[in-house]
Amino acid sequence: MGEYARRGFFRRRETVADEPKSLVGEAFREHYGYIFRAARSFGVPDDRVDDAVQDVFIVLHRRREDYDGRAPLRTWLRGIARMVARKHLASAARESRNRAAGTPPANPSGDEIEQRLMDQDAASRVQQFLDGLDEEQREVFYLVDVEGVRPTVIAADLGVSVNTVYSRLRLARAKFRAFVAEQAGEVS
Amino acid sequence: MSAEPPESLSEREQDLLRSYRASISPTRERKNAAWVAVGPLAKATGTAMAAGTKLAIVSAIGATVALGGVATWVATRPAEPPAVETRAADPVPADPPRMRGTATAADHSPTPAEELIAVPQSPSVVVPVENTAEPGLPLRDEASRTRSRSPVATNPTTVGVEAEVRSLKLIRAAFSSGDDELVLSRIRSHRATTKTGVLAEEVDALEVMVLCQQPNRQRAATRLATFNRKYPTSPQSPALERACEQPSVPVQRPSSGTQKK
Repeated sequence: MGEYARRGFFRRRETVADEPKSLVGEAFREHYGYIFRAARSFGVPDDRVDDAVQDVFIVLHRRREDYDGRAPLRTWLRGIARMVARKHLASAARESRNRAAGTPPANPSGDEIEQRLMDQDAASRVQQFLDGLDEEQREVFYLVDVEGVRPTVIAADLGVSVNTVYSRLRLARAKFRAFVAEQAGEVS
Repeated sequence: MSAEPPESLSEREQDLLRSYRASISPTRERKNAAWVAVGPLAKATGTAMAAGTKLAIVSAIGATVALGGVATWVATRPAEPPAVETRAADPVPADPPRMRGTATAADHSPTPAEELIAVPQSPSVVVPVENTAEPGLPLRDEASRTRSRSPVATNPTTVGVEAEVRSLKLIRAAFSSGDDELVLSRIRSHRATTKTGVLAEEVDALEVMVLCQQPNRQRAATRLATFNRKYPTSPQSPALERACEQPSVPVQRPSSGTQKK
């Protein structure tokens, strides 16, 4: 008997293979990146997003029996991610207030402010744009133009007509064009 | 009335959004790190198994997944910590990632919520997120919600597993920071407060790993022998034996710096 067999390695592998599929496992395999991006798009800072994503899976684990499969898992996860993101944002805001109370306020010079503005990259500018959109338009714009979800799928997920999705998308894109043009004008 | 698709974005606008998507996508390292914490939950959600079988499987998988990174990393003794992550588009591998040395990037400084969980007053103190209903979530109905949530929330097995995962994360974070006394203290807290013990093998292995780096060789040898007796088929054993055979070689701990925190 080989070393691996003696240690029960193969028996262990068989046991793992026999395990039934789980909702959490499927969600992780298929939607981890989607959840991560959703949390970031909701404004969760980079240093908190890993905890937020983990919380999404913990909530999913606890509420797995509530999922009836009628709506796509992705949609359900996005709802959980939104709820978790709110809590993390509130927590981050509390910490920020506490820090501000304990430290003297920063007083950046004009040059520093200008430098900060120049340092804003494409990602932060897009995030800034998304933060300024209303919830309905942001959701449609994000799902179509960032995640690449088809409008017909979004319509079904949200329970609205395709026309409604198109309408929201049209308005959001118009705002995005204006935003990009404005940014380009500031840079040039 | 037919639906009119809105005008497409320009190439430049699409480039901007592609950059944004890439910037908010997780790296493979972060996904691997996340699996360390989520994996045991995924394994604990099977419903067709008896509790004993389930615990055995969770333990087996936990041993492979949660500490596999530590064991692999000790066995291979990397010259330096895993490389700092670089941004990349979402890799989305077909299968949950297997733990490698980089998976130890899950270690991080504990949040206040985690600190609370490190010494839970009861198995029900687990999750920092309220289990509140979210408008728009496709729940079945109020009756079935009430019916189904109650047993899930109070099931000592599933709740205990979640607590153990969090507790193990705290231990591993202390291990990564190199604070051996903190590791041992958290291990004591873990054993005093966790009820299910499904991750006991990982915790025991971490304890042996730490003790083998301390001057009291006798104590380390005793614990290693106990570990081998308790888990004769543990895949961690070879790595632990190597670590204890060469205590003069400082253990390179998985750095938490690979994960932006």
